[in-house]
Amino acid sequence: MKSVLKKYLNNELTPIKAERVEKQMLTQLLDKKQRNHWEHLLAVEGIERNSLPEAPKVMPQTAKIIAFNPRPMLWKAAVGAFLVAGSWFLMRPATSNPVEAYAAEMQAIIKAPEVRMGQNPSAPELEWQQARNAYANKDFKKAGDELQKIVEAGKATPEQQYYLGLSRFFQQNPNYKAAITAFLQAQKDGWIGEDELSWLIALAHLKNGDKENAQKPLEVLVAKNGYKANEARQLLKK
Amino acid sequence: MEDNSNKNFGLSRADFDEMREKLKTGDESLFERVFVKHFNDCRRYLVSQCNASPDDAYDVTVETLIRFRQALIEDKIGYDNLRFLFTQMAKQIYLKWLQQGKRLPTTTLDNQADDRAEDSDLLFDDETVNILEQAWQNLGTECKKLLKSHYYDGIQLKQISASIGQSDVAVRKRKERCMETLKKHFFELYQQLQ
Repeated sequence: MKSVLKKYLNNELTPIKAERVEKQMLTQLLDKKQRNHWEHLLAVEGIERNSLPEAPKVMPQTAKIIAFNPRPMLWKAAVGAFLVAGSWFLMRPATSNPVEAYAAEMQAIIKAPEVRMGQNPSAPELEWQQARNAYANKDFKKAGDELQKIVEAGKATPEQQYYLGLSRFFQQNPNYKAAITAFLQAQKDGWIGEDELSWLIALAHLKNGDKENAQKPLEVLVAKNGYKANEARQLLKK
Repeated sequence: MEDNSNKNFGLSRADFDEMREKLKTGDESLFERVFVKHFNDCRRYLVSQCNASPDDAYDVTVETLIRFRQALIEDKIGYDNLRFLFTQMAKQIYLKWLQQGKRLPTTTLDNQADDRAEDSDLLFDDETVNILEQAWQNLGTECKKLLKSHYYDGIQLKQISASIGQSDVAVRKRKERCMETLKKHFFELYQQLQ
């Protein structure tokens, strides 16, 4: 054991030094969590580690994709919106149920996790790898079963709970209650995509025919006025 | 007035202030929206200017985002030329990363301490951090939020107590209890694994 850690655990450090140790430990831990969070976020956006697309030809406009003063680009935005809406209309799922469409959208955008293993992987690491492969192949039942083993061994991370929820949600015979339980556990354990979890929990309740329990997570999203707030607002009106 | 938004990831000064204030209150949504859009730009810069591989540029850009976020919260970065600052920070991290045999430089309390002997024993190895991560799972959501706000986001306990309407003393005691709980779980796990 490193001497400073040993001293810290044995309460042998001065309060100032102990505070520095605590800050450093938490900084390293939360940096790691931030890294995982960004990797997930980037994967959801389709940004892959091993591929880097060419820069768009109209580079100066890239900033304006997210510009908050869109007036000069208004007519272009209107044309763009029309085209996007048109494409969406042509490619939309053959369902008029928005919950079905939202669920299909989530299934399309949430990619399989990135799993890194050591040289001598443990049983949970191997199960995690198998779950990842099954998820990538859209065999959600198998992915869920592998993840369930990790949960039952008491070794599940929030990310694994999250993917367990997704697997139960997307499998051929969905188990929405199991999905909700896993999402809630991921939320409790501090999985960073808090708003996305609220959205998934709401969708799972709605798919399960439980409007009453869907209300609270939808209201949370509306109150935050960020991720999926408009969609949540629309669903609350129904 | 000169429009500097292009040098600042499309952000006006007001947008920048809003993003920074939101970050300080734990709302990362705007920061994430902006930097997801520009993530590949930064990778391309590292690939073209530093001969980094797309894979390496990915890791270094993620690391830069973490440092940049921290610097924003600590008011170390102002609205000027964020794009330039970001790419320069990425370049420095990449060079340091190469020097250290492709090991990411660990964040230390002042971001420089890993060069100083007196603080080198404050850096924890991956195994220790993994144990800490397991111990962290035993904390409740409120404890996690409080410890993150105070230790990671650098928010003073006074500010936290004001925002949640509790006394300074109550928040300080709660922070100490949370830290004690974390330490207890960490100690147990550490002993089991030794």
